[in-house]
Amino acid sequence: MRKFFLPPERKRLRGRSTLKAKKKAARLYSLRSSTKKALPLYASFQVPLFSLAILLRDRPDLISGPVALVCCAPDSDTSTPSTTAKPVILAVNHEAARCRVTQGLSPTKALARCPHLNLISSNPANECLHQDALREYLASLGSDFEETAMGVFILDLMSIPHAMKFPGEWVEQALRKATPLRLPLDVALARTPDLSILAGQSPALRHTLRFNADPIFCMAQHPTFAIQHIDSQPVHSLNCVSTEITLEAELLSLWGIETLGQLASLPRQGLAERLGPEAKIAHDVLHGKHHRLLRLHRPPERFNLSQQLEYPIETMEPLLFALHRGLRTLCSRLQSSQRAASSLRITLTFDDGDLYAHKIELPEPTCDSSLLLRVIQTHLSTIHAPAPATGWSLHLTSASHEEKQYHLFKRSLKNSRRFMNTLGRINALLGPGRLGTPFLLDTHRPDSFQMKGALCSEKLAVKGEQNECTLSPHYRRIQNSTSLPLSRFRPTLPIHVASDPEGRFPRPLALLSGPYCGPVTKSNGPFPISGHWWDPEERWQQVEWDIQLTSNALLRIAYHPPDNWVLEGIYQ
Amino acid sequence: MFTELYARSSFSFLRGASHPQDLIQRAAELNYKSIAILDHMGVYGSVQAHLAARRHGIRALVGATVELPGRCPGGSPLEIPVLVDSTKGYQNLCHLLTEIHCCSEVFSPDALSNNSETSVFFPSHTEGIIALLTPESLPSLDRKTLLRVALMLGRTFGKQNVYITLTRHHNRSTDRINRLLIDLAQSLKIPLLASNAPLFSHRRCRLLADCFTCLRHHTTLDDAGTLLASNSERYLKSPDQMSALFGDQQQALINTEILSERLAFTLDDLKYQFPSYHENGKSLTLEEEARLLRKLTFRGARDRYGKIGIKVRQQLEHELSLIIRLQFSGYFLIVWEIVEFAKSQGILCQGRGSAANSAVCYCLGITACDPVGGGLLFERFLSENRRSWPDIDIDFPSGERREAVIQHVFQKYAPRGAAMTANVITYRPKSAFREISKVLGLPDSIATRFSSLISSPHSPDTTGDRTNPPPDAGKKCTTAPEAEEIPDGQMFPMRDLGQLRKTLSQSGLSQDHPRFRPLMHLYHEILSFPRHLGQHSGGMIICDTGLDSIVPLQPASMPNRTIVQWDKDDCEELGIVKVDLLGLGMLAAMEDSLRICRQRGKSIDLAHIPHDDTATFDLLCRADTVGTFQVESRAQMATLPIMQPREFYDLVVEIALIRPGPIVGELVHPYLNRRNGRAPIDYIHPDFQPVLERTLGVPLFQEQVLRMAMIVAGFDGAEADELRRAMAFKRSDERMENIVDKLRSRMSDRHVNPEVQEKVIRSISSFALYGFPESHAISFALLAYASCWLKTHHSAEFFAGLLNNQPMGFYPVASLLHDARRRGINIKPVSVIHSSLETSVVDDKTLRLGLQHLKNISSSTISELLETRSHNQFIDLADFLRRVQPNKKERRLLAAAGSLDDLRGVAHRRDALWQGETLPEDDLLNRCNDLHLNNSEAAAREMNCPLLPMNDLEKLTADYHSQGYTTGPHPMALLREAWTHEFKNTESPSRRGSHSTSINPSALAKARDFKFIPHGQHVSCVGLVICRQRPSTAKGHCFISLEDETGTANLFIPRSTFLNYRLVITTEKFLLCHGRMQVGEGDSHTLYTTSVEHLPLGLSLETQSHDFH
Repeated sequence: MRKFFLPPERKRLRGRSTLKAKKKAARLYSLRSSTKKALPLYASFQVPLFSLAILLRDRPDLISGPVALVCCAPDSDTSTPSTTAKPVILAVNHEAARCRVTQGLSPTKALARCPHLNLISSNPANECLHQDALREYLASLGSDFEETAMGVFILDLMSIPHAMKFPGEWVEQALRKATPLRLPLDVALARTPDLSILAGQSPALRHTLRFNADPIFCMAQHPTFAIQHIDSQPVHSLNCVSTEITLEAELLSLWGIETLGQLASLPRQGLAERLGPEAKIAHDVLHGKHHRLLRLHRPPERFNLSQQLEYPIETMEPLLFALHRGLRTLCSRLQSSQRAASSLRITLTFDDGDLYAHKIELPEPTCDSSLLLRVIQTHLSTIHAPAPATGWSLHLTSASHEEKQYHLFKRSLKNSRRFMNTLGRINALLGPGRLGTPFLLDTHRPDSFQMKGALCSEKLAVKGEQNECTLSPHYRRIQNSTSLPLSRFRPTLPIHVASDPEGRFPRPLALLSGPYCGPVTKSNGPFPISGHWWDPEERWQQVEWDIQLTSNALLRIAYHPPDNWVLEGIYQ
Repeated sequence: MFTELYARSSFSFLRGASHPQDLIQRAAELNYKSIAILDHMGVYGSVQAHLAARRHGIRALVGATVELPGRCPGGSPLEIPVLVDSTKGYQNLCHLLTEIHCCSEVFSPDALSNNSETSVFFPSHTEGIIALLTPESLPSLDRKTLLRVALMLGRTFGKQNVYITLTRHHNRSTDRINRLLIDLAQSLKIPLLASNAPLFSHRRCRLLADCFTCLRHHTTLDDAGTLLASNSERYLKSPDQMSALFGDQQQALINTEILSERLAFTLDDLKYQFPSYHENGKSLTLEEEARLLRKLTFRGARDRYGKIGIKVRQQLEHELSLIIRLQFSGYFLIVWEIVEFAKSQGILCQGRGSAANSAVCYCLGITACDPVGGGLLFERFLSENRRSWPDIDIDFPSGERREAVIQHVFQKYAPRGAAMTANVITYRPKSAFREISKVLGLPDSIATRFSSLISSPHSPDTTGDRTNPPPDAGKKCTTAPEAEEIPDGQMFPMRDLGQLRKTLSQSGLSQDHPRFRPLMHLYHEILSFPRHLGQHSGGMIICDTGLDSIVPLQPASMPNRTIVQWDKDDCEELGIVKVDLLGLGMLAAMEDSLRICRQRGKSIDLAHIPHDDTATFDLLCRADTVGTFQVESRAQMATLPIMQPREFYDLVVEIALIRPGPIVGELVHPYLNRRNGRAPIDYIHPDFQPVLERTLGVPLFQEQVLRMAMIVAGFDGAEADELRRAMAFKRSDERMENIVDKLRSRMSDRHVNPEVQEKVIRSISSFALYGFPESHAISFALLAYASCWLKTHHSAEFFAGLLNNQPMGFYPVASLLHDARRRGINIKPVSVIHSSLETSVVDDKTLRLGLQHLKNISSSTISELLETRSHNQFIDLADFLRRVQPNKKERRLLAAAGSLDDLRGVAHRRDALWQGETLPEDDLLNRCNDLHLNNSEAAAREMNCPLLPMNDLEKLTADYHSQGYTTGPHPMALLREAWTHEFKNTESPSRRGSHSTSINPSALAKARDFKFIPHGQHVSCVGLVICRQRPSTAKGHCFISLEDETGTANLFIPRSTFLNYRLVITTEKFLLCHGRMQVGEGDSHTLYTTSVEHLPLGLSLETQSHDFH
């Protein structure tokens, strides 16, 4: 389904319901309007019920039934979703609305009215993805647009002569381009940005037109938009227009002001006296007298460069030459925007179609191209290419210079160049995932740590201190429970143990396999430990023993029910 | 042989994970001879432990874990477990705990850090207290700190009273810590003890203990890390296990046994004494008390009876001799003093409960019904062989007047001679689900949705709705095997969740969620666990020699109140006498009504109103009892027309008849049938005739049941009392079974016919849960009759009293106003010109609502309004705003409620709203101009308002928003009018077919029409829900009262319909119901509802209803 608003002049043509007729009318109108002096014109692009529309886009099985989007009501003080607030219905589809489920109801009441209602929660990550897609779509239409809210954009058509001359035709083309988005989209044109949004929300202005059976909705608004067209819209529509306008809904309700038309008919001065200057702005917006500037969207600068080679390269030297050239370009761009690279990602494509990608974290942001090349060279020297390289691409992540300076008067590294080089060599030597800073986890599980990047040691140190403070007193006390240092086997070594099955925990009698074998002369334990019992996937338990063998070796072994033994470490 | 001396139970709130009874039961299973439960900062669970221990034949030793704050602010606290070895030690412990709880400033880190004297930790006497130094006592276990604390304990408690406790929980740190402790013990010559310091009875309870740890530290299981236990070793271990564990520390095991032998004190040795009566600051002796009681009794008897007849004198002598013999004179005098204080302050009060069986109480003015004339059984109140003290309940007007009496008692027995009994708040389904889901890291929204979805409190389809610990509480975790640390496989087996399954799914929690099973398991586990301590509604206990010697006291959440650490059942079990000072809304309302009558020159004495007033009984017979006491519920109103009460005792029976006991015992219909001559009277046994004659052979009262037991089974007073306690003791089925067995065997011994035996047993069983004494019914009937009499003869004052004491009773204010209007009373709205604070009576047929009915208007604004108005009446709106200066919200609320409409220059509510948004300019010129504003100018100003006046529906919404009711038409009248209009429009040919959702009002029956609808006819009706009930005795059926502009319709919702439409029924304010008419006994018309719909409304009203109480 697709909706298309016809300007008043064109409403006479409604009888002719074919697409062709309407296109013709649009052209006629455009010709007429083009003869006038060019006034500013804005197009609003709105996805109605953005969060719900996105969820339903990915769940077509739900579309036919009643669906409601449920979310915690925002905290009245902070306007952010509160964790303790009661959940409310944010949006409903047509089926749910037919069952009298409305926005603002509690889920319980909604279920009372519609027992088969599907309650779904919003997916912020997915919404961001679709917002990105919409942004890209808008960027493809024109450069000057505002990202007013999630799913709401305003495009300034002044810079698009075709749109100014033939708005109807342009809207149709724009909507064709939106087909891959597979989202309902309302488009409206008006002489002010705010009115274009209001027009886009006005059901009174909608006129349906089927367009290739795609779920695309369009509404093109006559540029000389008049207030009477939106007078029946609810007054809260103004909230979508601008954050500057926050009228007291409760007071307006007490006044009996339900629609924009009723609000517009109130005296401007009287409103301002009672509701402040915001009310004056709202009044002007409704009468088309308020013309604000758009907060234009500017995409963040990207530092990417790639090259498809004309012929495959078999040795490293020409590749490094090419890469160096690319790095110089990128670094000069970084310098011109007063930024530095905090990490780089290199991707190589090979003749056999294979692809190699690697990300290198830099210990300190830099825009020194030769330093970056050195790091790449160290890394590339450790890999074996399966075929000659046919292309490369570089992506630098930008950061401000001072972002990584931890101390006030000195940098964190005395010789970052050397350190970077050293790390590159160690990483190449050990292989991926083996270089980093171990971070102790707050758990009873033995030898539990997490490897963080090698270059975030200082941050981790701070975090580690905090972590230490939150440990229970009991835990802090047991850290030094043994005076002997323990060398751990990572991973632990499976062994066979002869054990006495008497009692709750089997007592080891002799080690039958593994690097240390022999009868146990002395044992200390058992030390049963277990945890994470609430998670079936991560539940663990073991019984530890400290043992001494006839060879005087002092070992720590652990029993994992039902019948596994491992060698955990050896006391030095 | 082993004794655990450092166990903690669930009463160490959020620490222990087993009920005291479970620990005791487990200890008995493991052949312990004694066990000490040292709960955190109190002896909260000691009574339950003591009773359980008595049942299992072991000793429950008493003690507590005392926590003292660190010496510097934010420092780690010191936890010292202490045991008591004598009564003196127990008293000292109680003193100590009371000091810490009630004088927190003394124990603040600041105070402690300023005082270098170590004994400041334990300021009171420490005789009889034994302190334990455990690995958990100190935050950091280093040699120096241990030595310092050990020396401090030795100095404070005496060297022979300090022990060092070793624990072994299979942790790596244990050996090092124990080595330190053993070294310390050897160097200071302090004996060692062995303990496992259990927090739960079985290993499987560790899961709940971990949850409690998270709740205590406000974290989740995922984030708790090492705050959680590393294993499940802190359970109650067997003596063999402990011997094996401490095989190398035999002396510690021996010391533990020696110490347990030394601990001679149990709660059996509690020396509680009820205070003696003080006169002129001097404590009276028993003889003096007896003399005074006799004097006051006979003086009162002369006032009550005029001339004291032989029967009365004999009864009084009988009662007095028993009271004096049992040394209860002081108790009666103290209660008399409380009542006298209330009377001296003009506070209406009346004793109820079993005290009403006593002629002495009647003569002392404690109760208002004559037990001699009523032939009541004194033994129900007091008998020779009763173990416990008699219980006197006194009703006072709720609110400030009752608080005045409570504060009088506190002050009279200050310091620390009186306190309220506690009320242990336990985990209920909603709180249990919320806490467990929080601990498991589930979103709050799930718990919120679950809370709103869960059905009515008494519904049998809500799994886990349990108020008290189950008898098998310790055996709940039957699934977790013993052998492994954490069992594999079926750790959280799926339970039969019943209706809960659907609720969980609707809450947004999928059964496939990995944490669904742990959630369900822990949810069921935590139910009924104590969460914290609250205060009982009115139970006070008093002790002459200092209540803090008997039980520790702690501050209540209400200012100037203290509570004891035991609940009322625990106090009763230990023979601690309690006086219930209860708040009764109806007394407050009646007091107000009488005051208004007095102010209007109609002085009324309730004691002298005629008890045979025909008009009052007519009102009762036609069930016109909305707003009255006890007989206003739907069930009562349905029975009154059948019962047709024509004398006072009929009302007593009526009140006793519609109770859960007789309803469950199916006694209602037999009585009514016999009363109406439809069934013959059967006395079960000829000997019962004198007892059951007044209730036509149906045993309605506890006294009758006791007398029957005395007659047929030869029970003496003590056995009858035992039977009463079994009937009243809601927790114990076992107790009831025992007494029933005894009754049966005694009847068999006396060759009572088996059929009669069965009837007697059945009668008693009916009372097992909901016993209701005749004296209580009479006390209630007195108030019920008085309220009906007031409603009949002084309606305006009666409704004014009711409205001034809301909320109370079954009906919201809106329903009371509609009822008043039906009785011809004109209700005038709140006005800033005419209203006073409270609702006032303008004349016999007119009420003016008070300013207090406006919601969200601050008391300071109202005071300012009344004060300003008392000097000069307001000239106009500007004058009002200038002088009263209400804030923005209040201005809007007053205007929207129409309270400003009477001011000059205000055309309508919206005009007031429009004008009220601009503050008046406070200059002299304007004021002078305003003063000379003539009518035409005022009218011109009105014309300036650009807002339209509110229509009826808008006024209705504004009224409900600002006051919760309207003085205008009933919402249903307006809605019906709107539907009629809408339906007519949609019926027109041009619009036909578009009205699928519109309602045809002519197809809907009004409440008034119900009585004309024949039995079985299909009916649809709409209305505002004013009451939803689903009593536990109703087998899952539900009862709804639906109000419309013509009256109230009664709906019966069968269980199946309720389950089908549960959410609609429990959440919607207006309902459209379909069903068939049922005409029952007494021509009662009820809609047997088969389906329920939400009523599509265009407005949102903030209505109130009386739901599931």
